[in-house]
Amino acid sequence: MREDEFINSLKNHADGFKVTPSAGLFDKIIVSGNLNNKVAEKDFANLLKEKASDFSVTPSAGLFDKISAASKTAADAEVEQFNHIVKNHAKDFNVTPSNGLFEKIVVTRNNLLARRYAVYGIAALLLLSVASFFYWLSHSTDALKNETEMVYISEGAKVGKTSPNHKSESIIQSKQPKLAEESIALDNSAIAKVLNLNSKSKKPKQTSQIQIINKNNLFIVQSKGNRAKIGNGIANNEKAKLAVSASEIGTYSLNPNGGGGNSNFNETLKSETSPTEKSATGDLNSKNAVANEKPIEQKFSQETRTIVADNNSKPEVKEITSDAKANPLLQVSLKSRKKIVGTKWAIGIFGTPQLLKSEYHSNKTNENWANEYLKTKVQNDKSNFNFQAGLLIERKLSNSFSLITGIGMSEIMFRELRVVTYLTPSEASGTDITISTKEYIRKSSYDVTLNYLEVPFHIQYAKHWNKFGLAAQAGMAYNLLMDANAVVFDSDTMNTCIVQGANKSLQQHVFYFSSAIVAEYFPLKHVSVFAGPTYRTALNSVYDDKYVLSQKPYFYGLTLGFKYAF
Amino acid sequence: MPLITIAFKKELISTEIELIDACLRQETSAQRVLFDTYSAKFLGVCYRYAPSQADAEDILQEAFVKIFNKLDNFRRESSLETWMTRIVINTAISHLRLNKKHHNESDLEVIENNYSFSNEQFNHIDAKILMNAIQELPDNYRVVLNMFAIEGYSHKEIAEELGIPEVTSRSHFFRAKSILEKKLLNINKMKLAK
Repeated sequence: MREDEFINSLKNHADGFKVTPSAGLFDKIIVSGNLNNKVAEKDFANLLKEKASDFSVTPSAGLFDKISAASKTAADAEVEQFNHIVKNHAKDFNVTPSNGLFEKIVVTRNNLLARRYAVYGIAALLLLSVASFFYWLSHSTDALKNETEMVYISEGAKVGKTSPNHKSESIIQSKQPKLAEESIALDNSAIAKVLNLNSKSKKPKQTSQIQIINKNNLFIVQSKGNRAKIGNGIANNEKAKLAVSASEIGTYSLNPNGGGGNSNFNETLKSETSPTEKSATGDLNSKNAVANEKPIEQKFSQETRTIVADNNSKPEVKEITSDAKANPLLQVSLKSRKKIVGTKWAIGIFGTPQLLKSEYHSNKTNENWANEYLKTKVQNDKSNFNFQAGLLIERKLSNSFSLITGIGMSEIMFRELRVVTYLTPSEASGTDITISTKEYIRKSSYDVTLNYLEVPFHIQYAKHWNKFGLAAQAGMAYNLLMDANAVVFDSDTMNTCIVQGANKSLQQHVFYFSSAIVAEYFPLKHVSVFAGPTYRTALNSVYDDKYVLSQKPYFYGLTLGFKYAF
Repeated sequence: MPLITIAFKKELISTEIELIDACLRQETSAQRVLFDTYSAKFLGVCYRYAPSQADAEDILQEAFVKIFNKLDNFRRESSLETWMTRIVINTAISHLRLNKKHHNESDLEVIENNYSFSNEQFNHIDAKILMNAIQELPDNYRVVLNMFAIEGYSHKEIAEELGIPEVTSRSHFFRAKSILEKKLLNINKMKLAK
């Protein structure tokens, strides 16, 4: 292009070129009084600035990649390119889930929630049981009493030389675990303290106190302390019955002429809280009670009755037969807890390999829906070898009885061969079910594996001879289903289906009755090993109540383990 | 649940917030909507990590159980999809960690990286084929490839997440890349041959 042609072309283009003035231009001219040329200069500069600031050019495709690539090594660039491609492909890659996945999620979640609540419930129950057990141990020692100790109070008392006005207090102690025999003289207020009669330790841990108060021919026997619960009072009528409880304090009238009297004990047995009795006896607990003019031992020398009472049985009235009892005036029998010899607690580990058999039957409650379309029958099942293991805690209740609990895992594996008989064509006639003559019988094998969390509660009766022991155990076990898997083989289609987490048709909670005979050997003082046969049987089906089958497994096993006693 | 009801629910639960609130109220219909909306995308994510579709569905199932259980922990600072994607990926990683099959590296084929990789060649490859090829990779390689190439983790982060040395993460990635390139080139060749 020549120069003149270029200028003409430029002019032609410039002729039609218009620029819209900026918004404030008119104001600048009129208000500020600027000259047109100045306004035009300023406006042009502003316009140029404005246009320049907004000016952008879209770079050619791949420019950034080029710059970016230039700043990196070739290897980095290749990796980046690779990542970019893979990422682009993956970005919109969707896969449609199979049908029923959402339902599976809902069921799985519900099972998890149910299991969580069940675990919380069991934990709370266990905690409550343990707390109750300890509370019972510390507060209900009477229930454990099984040995009787006697305190005889007679006129031939060792402290009988005390003056009638003297307040006699005798401490009766015995290192012998059997009878503690002591006689004390009775005056107005005789207090017999029984200090831990059975304890071998130097410092007695248990204190019992008997207070006997005579007030105007009213003979009052009181018990104090937690450990000794005594028979209250005496009676001269052999047929008299006492209603004695730990908290009762009896006030009884004695026949001064000895046995054979006619007084009815029941008539004279009154509560301490009775206003009438209170007025009659005054302050029963007072140690400063007024002395009786006549010595008690003369009055009641013929009273040779023994009253045996505890909280758990009806009191008995017995006659003293032995002369050695020195013609007692009053005999009070105490019952104290029999001392548990040796350790009370034990922890241990056990394992039980066991052989499983099952008892099957069709679920009658669901026979309608099950048998309307098909009949399921377990044709055969193979015995399977299973295993159970866990931790145990043992608490002695007495020298012979123990309570055993703990926690364990139990794995149950079994194979079932199921024959599902659909309605035969003849049976189906008259219904809207169409059945091919060849397809109404189907056989499938089920290899099922169930995992349970087990909590046993057993009572044990044991006998020990030196280093050996023999125990019989019986009780219940609670099983919580943790996991279930099944491999199902369909003989017709030759398909194998693996069902993981097949908890839906299974019972979450299964209870077992279990029993065992266990031989124990103590190689060390506190350590024992044990072994013995066990038998367990399910009390409910492992399948859900709505399931077409009911299966109650039972096991023959050999339990092995060791315990540490403390 | 009938589709009409779901459609109705979809309209009803118009916003993400409403959907979350309904899920928090344990409304199964809302959970269904959430599942229907994201399941295909998330299954695609699981598919990349899992050795098979069945495994991928297991992971998805586990992830959705977690999502429904932990939805009250969602602080709404990010989008719901981002939060859920993170759960899905974490579930996939922990799932693979649990079912870890230890590959002895010396047993694996030593591959020389002689394969050039270009946009042109791979633009022709279908996403499904690429994903299948990724799925066929050994577990360790597949996870590292996914985390590095697609999720954008650094090798340091991958090393921390999987409990492996950083150098192992790098070597896993390069081996995965090499295997993948080889596979895809073979597929391309077969295509051309046809």
